[in-house]
Amino acid sequence: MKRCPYCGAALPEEASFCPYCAKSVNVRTAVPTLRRIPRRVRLGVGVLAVLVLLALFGWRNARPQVYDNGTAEAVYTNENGTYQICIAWANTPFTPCNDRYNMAELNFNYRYPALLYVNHVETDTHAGQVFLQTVERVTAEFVDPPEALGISCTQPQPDADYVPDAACISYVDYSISEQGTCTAQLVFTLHMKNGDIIRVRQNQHFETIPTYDYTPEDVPMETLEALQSFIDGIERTIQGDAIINIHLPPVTYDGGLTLANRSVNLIGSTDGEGNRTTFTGTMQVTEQNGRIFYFDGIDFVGDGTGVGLSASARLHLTGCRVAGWKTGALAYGHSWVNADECVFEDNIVGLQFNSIGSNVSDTRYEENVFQNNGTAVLLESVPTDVSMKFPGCTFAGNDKDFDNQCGQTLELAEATFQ
Amino acid sequence: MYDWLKQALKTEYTPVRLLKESDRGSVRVVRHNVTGRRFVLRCFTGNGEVYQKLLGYACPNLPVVYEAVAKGEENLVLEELIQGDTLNFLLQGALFTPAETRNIVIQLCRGLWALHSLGAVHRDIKPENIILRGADAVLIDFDAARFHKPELETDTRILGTTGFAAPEQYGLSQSDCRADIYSVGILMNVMLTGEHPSKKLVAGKLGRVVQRCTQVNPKKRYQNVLRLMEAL
Repeated sequence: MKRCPYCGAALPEEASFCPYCAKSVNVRTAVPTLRRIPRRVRLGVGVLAVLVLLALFGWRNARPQVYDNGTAEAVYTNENGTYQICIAWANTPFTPCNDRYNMAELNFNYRYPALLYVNHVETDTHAGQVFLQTVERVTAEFVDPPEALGISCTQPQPDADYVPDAACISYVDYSISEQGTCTAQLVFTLHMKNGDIIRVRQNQHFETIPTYDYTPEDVPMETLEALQSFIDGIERTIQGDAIINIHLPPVTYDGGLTLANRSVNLIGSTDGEGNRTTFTGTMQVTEQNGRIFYFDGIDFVGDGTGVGLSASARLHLTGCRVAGWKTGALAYGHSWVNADECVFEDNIVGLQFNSIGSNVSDTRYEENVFQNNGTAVLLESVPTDVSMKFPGCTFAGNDKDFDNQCGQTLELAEATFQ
Repeated sequence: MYDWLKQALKTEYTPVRLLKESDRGSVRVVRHNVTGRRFVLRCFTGNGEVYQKLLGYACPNLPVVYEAVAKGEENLVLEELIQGDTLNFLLQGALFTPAETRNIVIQLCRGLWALHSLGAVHRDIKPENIILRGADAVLIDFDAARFHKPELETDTRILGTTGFAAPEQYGLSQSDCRADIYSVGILMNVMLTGEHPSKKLVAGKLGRVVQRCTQVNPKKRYQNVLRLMEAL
């Protein structure tokens, strides 16, 4: 119930009128006044509107146009035909990719190419080369990236050697400083010589990869059997792109491991007496699904026979010592082996490449020591034309520093030969 | 609410005179016992939706609806008593001049504009339902009014006054605001000639306006009161 504001009588909530004092208690809205507009005025306004629209139409067509529908694709027509301008993957260059998803390890630096295609619609052919003749310049930038995402891109350039069908490539460098997901938008802008602007956009989604660290305090790994058992368990139970870091104790494992199903990172240690994590048997790395195995601070010591590290997967060694093997580290199949700050010594062959494919991860071999080997580096087959670089490396006491059977391009200017 | 108002009206008001009574209900003038103010009290069976809608609006060419309540199909409406003569009464003595007719019909259009802008159709425009209050023409009696519902193909009930009601009100199609325009056309002709246009159509420009208003096909009429006012 409510009260009448005039007489105080009790009224139902929905009452509009107080029957006791005969006064309205609701608020009324005046119906909009109806005004007649004379026909001549309406006609004049109509003619004026048409003239304004015609003027606007002419003005709009006379000035440069902006083509930007907020997606990874724009369609542009000039005197040579109609073109599809799109950001796409190399294997589907006619299909615009509006969203790209990237996984990243926390605080790691990554680089990938973003490909801009220009396709002639009538003929379904790549027409970047012809179309770029009508373009003043192409730029790329990221719009409002979040603070946790350090990201930049190179200015787009054609790269006939890398992806010849793409009109331009911009290389994107990024790292993520906080766990979680984030998004940034990559924008390619084509400034046409006639003043037109074409923009295509791709939403780049980033997600940090979960990382699991295991130490000797967490799990038993004092013996080779215990370690192999633990790793086999990880391979069975942890799926996906998670990063597994296994921190090994400073013990000598009598033998080697077989890492066959998923990548793991092995991180060795040194105790106060100088004992380091050591394997005396062949380490077989055969995982084929792309991710790199990182071995850090581990000795691989043989008795003059066999292979110290046998890799058909991608392998990156840092601060390791590979000594006393017939072949210290062997890359075969579709693998790639990289080494930084490592020592290859007393092997018949220190580092051997006999692989094919396209799994190249890094062609720089920095700060390594190759000493007292029969052949320090044997290159039978290397799966890239990119030159292998050895900055800061030392070659000493080897019978042969390089046996370059496949004629791989080498950059040795910054290496030291003693 | 219905019972509460009925009781309050019974105790606080006195019936003055009966204006109309039919099977559907009655229309009475009542007087407030304390202030002496007079009101029109409508008691009828049917759809009182238009009156309830008008509770929130004010227009000089429509009576003020003070209260409208319903209980099932029963309605109680308390509205402003418009003091003046109906067009029907005035037409008994003389016809209207074209200038007077324009002036009155334009005001009628303003009242209809208010109704149509609420989505309602009056459906009973005739001389008895138009009162001249000084210089103002006021459209009364919304008992036949209804809201236009586009999903309905035909009107479910035939309401309106024979001769003034548009053909679609007899079930040819659902009536919308153009049904009122038809009735306004008839009204204009009656004001000017005293006859239905089928018997005697007014001459001149106003005759063409009447013809346009009274086309059988609603699509050929003025499509809204704005267009009719423009023509006038």
